[in-house]
Amino acid sequence: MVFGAQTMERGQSAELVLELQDLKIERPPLIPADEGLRIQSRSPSPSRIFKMINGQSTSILRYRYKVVALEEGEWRLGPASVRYQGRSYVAPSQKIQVLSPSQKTNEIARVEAFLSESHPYEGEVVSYRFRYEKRGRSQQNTWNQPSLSNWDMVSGLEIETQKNVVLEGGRSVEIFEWHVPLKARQEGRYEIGPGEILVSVPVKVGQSSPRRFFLPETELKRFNTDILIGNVRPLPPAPTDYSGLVGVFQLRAYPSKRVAKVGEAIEVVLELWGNGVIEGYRWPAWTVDSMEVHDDEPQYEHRMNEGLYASKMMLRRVVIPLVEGKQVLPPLQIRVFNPKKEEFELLESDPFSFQILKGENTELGLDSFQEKESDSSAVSSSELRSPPSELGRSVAPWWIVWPFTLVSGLWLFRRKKAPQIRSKPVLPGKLPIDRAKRLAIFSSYFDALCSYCEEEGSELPSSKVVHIKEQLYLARYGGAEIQDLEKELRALGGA
Amino acid sequence: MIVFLTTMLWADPLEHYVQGKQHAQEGRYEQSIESYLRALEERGADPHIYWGLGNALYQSGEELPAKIAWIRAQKMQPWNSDIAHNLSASDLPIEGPMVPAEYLSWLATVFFLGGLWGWQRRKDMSIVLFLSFFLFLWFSLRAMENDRIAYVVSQEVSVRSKPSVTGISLFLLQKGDDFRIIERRSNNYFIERENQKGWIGGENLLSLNPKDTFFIPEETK
Repeated sequence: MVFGAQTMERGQSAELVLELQDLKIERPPLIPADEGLRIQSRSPSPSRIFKMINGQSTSILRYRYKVVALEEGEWRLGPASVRYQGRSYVAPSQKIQVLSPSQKTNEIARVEAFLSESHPYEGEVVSYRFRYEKRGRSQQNTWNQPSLSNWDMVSGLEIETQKNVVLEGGRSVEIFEWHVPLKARQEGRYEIGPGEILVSVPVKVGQSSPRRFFLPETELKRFNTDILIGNVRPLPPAPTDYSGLVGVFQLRAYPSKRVAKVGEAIEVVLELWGNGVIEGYRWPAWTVDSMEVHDDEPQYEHRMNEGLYASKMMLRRVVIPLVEGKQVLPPLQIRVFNPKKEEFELLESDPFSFQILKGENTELGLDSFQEKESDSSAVSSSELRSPPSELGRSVAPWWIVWPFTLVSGLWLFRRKKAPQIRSKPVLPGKLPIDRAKRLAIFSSYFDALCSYCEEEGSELPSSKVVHIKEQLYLARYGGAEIQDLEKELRALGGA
Repeated sequence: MIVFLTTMLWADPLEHYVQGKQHAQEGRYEQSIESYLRALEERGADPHIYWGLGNALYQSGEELPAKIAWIRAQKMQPWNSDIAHNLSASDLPIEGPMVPAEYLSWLATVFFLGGLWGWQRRKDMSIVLFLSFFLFLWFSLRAMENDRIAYVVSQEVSVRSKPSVTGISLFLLQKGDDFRIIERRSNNYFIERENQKGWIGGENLLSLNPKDTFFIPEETK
């Protein structure tokens, strides 16, 4: 038993070679390992070489195993024992020290594996995601798929690979992701072995030389993910009309036309899509006496779209009406198991109603049909009503009435002004000495007094008014005494 | 300025509208749709353009966009029985046209003002008016909600985690699926369907709101 490593880091793997000299064994012998290690045969058939030892030809069978360090601690690998022709041959066991990943290892790469659903239902499709963070100058080599137990890979689909670059502490980290769609096989325990990536890492040895600068020496490192273990849940007791589909699905069905003549083919497109496997599904048939039904070959496609599985099936179904009148096809119903809701659900299309007119070989035309079926609300293309020649109103009428509403609102709630009580004008007791200013005050006082009396309905003696008007006129040119005028104005105001 | 004025002079929505009608009458539905769309671009939302566009789309076999165009037209002219007649041609389960939210909110305002005015005069009438106000306010909110309903017009579209093509695809929608628009950011819409939310490009959907852009998918043109 040849295994060079005495210590390993968690997540790393190494190769173990079991050499059998002159022993013929059909299958690779089982080598026991403690729970912190996982050992797995690389291939069922060994490599065989012949050597001449002491002049005799000796055959050597080499079985290769992959040993993955799963948990930190000291673990025992082996012993390997082989029984051949009644005799036992034993290779001694070996102790392996598993350490936590060093900082240097973490600087090279990090790997992780996830399942989109860790407790799937049987038949459910989940996405296995292997994530590899490439750090430093390491070169990515190859990704090895993990071993699967109680899973089936969804056939006919390429594994989706994504690459992103993120900045972490000022350094760019390339993140590669592989997405694999897996279908849970049956109720019970499942296991997904460690996903492994082989990375070649440059080795710093000796003096730098031009050759090493251009062709640096590298060593191959293996990085492994943890094993994923869980349980596949059974489906609840299924109803009799269960289609066998597991996933979140949507159904749609639409006809190419709704008005046709007797004998004219109507194509109905049926579409079913979701995140479960649909391949091999048979669409439920329609049995309608008044129509012939013919199915085309169903078209199926599926893909991984940004880490999620999506599938779609389309069927073109041709129905040929045999009888005129209103024909109704029943809605299409498919019962599926929805893992998100954890229950069976019924997908149902809308029912289809068709207006079937008389065929061309009969005398009954469209007009007579309309007479017979005047209660029908269906409108054919030829009956569409056309818009008028001018454009419609770009400003809708309710916008026009808005200003009226606003104005009427303002009018309803306007503030009513309080009635103003006008007081009788009064000639000030102290008047300016300047003649012109005094005369101006007299003139404005006289006007205010006249308008006040007019509004109040009381009349001033007209002779007095005429007289004061004349006096004011004469006073402007020095023809009247201003003191007399003041007296007369005060007397008029007092009256 | 000269370029702008020239553009304004050349941009005649009526001309494109008449062209659209002529093309439709002569059975050239694709050209008719093009002309109506140009008329819409120049004129903005117009019930007659939507009406003609709906006819052309229906004649060319695009039932879903046709029904949406008619619904938009009917929203702008709820009294138009000809548009209602055309709408009955399609059985697609799209929620029928509602009276525009603006009209309902206007009526609600009238009732509210009437209630306020009558409060000091006739309280019983005023209470009736206030109740009418709340009723029309509710109708108005429902009509606004109806404007947020939209339908997928592309064959298949990914609803993503952010408003760009770099967003993660959360779920897929197929042609004819309906959803509710929550928010609009440029030409991207944040939508909700069956408790699932995400972003979708504006070129993949048609809303029932007449003021929104009317997009015809490439495969239709």
